Amino acid sequence: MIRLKPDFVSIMIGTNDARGHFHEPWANELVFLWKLKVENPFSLENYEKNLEQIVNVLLESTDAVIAVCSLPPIGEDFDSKVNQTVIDFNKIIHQVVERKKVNKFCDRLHFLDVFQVLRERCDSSNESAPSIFKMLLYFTVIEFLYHLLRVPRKYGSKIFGMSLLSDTVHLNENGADEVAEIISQWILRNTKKK
Amino acid sequence: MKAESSTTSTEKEDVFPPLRPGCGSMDPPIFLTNILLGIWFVLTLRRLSEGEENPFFGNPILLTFALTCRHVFVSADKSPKDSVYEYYHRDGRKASKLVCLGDSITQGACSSSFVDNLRCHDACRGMDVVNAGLNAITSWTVANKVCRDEFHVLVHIHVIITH
Repeated sequence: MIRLKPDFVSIMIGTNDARGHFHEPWANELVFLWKLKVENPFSLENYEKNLEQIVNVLLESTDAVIAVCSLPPIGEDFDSKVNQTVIDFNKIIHQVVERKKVNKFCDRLHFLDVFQVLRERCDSSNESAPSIFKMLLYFTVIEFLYHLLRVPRKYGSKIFGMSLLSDTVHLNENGADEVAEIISQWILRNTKKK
Repeated sequence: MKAESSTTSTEKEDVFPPLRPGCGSMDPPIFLTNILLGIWFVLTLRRLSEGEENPFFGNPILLTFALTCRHVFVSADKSPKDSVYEYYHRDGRKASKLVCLGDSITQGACSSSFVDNLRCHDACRGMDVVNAGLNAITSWTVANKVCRDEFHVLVHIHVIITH
């Protein structure tokens, strides 16, 4: 990725860390998948360390303007326990960006609050807590409708009362539009500076 | 600490092996649907050899269900448009580029892709938008592998899971 010499980099990483931190079976799945040998790989401390490392590598190895996005919600009940975990991770993201900006006198590192924007735009009637079962059920139904009948995911997710997410983790067309809008506004602001 | 710009073709292959993105997270369900379809095929062949009037085993709705299942899982693991590998080997790149780094939300294979939407925005006109999203990826993987262009880790894991 560094060899591409990007002018802009947007980073949105940590949803799987937050899931692993929140729920042990999800953590076990990811540890098995990536053969992680780190102790407590999805702790907030390790996430902070990894994010700092990512930002450092990108700042030192590229001339790109970098945007670190906060994580989108997991399920559309923004006050749920799992979203409290997401908020904790988002606080870490904000802290890392602010710290780097001060320490490195860096004006090419920015924080984009995707979570907050999605919270303001959300028009959801689904306030139940997400689970593996729900995620699989929603994913199967919505993707079936999409692949078999070409029903847009935003209509499929309406069946389950969601407005921005499809299977409680991934974005539907509405959510993707919002995130694309946030990033494009950031690019417009920084293209003028470049 | 700038990245080297000149790479030979062999180095390119080492760094970006021809592999679909993802880490094989969708391989178990794909394997399962393959087995179901295989059973259906064998049972149909048996009926055919026995000279049955309706040789096709089971209900066509069930077959459609199994085929759609397989298609959904395969699609969920497919390479996004302009992935890092694809873009690296593409001719006619634009001068300016945006790289979107992230997990399945960025890859957009099992959901809507905001990266595809970005390509249509005025802000990204005249700019290449590269999708560096990978299913099931964590901050550890990005920090230790992706950021350092060590894409071969994905081949390794893919091989372990499929065998």
